[in-house]
Amino acid sequence: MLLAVINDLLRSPSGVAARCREDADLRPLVLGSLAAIAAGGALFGAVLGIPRGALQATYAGAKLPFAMLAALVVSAPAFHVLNAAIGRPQPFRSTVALTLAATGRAALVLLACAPGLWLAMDTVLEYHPAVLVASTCYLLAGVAALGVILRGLMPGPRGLFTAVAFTSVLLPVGGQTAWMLRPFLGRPAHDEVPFLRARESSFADAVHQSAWSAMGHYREDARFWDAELARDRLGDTDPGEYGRAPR
Amino acid sequence: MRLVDLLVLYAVIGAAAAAAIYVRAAPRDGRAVASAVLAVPLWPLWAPVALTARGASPHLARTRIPHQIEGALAEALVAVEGTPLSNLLSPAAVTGILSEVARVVNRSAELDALLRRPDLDPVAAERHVATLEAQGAPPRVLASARLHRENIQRLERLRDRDRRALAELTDLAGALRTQMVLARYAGSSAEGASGIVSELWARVEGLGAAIELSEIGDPNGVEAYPGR
Repeated sequence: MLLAVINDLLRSPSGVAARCREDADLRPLVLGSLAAIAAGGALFGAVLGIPRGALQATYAGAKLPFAMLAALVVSAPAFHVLNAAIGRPQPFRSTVALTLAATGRAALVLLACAPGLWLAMDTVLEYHPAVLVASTCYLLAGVAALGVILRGLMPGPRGLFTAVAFTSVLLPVGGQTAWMLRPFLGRPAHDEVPFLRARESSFADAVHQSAWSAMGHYREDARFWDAELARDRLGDTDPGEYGRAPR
Repeated sequence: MRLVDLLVLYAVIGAAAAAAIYVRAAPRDGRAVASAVLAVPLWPLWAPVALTARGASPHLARTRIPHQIEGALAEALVAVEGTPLSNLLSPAAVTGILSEVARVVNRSAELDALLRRPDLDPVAAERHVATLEAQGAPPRVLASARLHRENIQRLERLRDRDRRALAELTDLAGALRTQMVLARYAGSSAEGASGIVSELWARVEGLGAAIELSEIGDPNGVEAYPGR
């Protein structure tokens, strides 16, 4: 059953979406998708943490599937409401099945990316390039998931608008969830391997900060992040003048 | 509300959902326990699927009814093994019966899935006809809407017929099991068991028979179009 669902997720996104739309035989689909999320997320997370050792790999492997599912727990009801308001009302279980199937497909894409990422991190990639490559893997997985979502919604502009609205909910929720569960890679400058990093700022703050910094505008509290980056590059573990989080 | 409070509340709801899933599960076996345990951390995602699947989803029929029939026939086979009654019920015959039952269960599940589609909703079709009648729609438009409604009703009748036949077959398989067990231990004659086996075969053959037009109506619906 599990292999059949995984086969469908990979090879027949249209069939999976139709199954969700028609509310047919959802239970095995949902269970198979959950298994795909658990396996794909855990292995990709473990690969992210491998350069920092077995403990970080274990932590990241446990946290990544949790982050994916936690984001869905928060976002799925919003998706259901958006779909009912903009597109076509469906039973809640169909919406849940569609989001889980899409995430399951994304997790399988992450699983496919994992060996390449592992090899690259083991040979040429340092911390920041590794973050960028991992982000590209997430982007690929997101595109694969969006394909299932779009096929499961009403065809035409209404379905597209619903997908855009859902994405606008899922991205910040998923981003904040992952932000709260950092570190996944683990900064090279840190000696210890914490399960969770101390709470600092938020995902939105970090995006805002990075955007301003990228444009050459530095705020006083931005110097903390710059100090962090500099320490990562130098491998320095001294917190220094700006070593404490601004908030 | 602190994060801990929120987590406790989440866990309490998860436990309630798990209990509900376990209580409503049939049968309450290891799968039911696993399903309930899964609901504790993932109740917002799993509970809607696990709870509403009962009686509404086609896969329930797909798994539950054959399980009952399969169990009864397997026990009957064991009961007649090594006795003169084994001529009445062979493993090949049981395989044939189960294959036919599975085909009908799948057809019933497909009909279930079709009839849950919004465009094949019988209530919506009925309402649409009523609206058109109230608006004084042209006869051809009204005839199309009526034909659509009647086709949906025929699909419903087909599905109900399959369900009834499967329910009867489940009872019959149960009776066959007890009859075979009784014949084995009480040493009774094969006569009673033979009657039930014949009846079972007749029902199985009935499952495979084509649906009579008189039973579901004229599929072409020619008479529904006055101008045709």
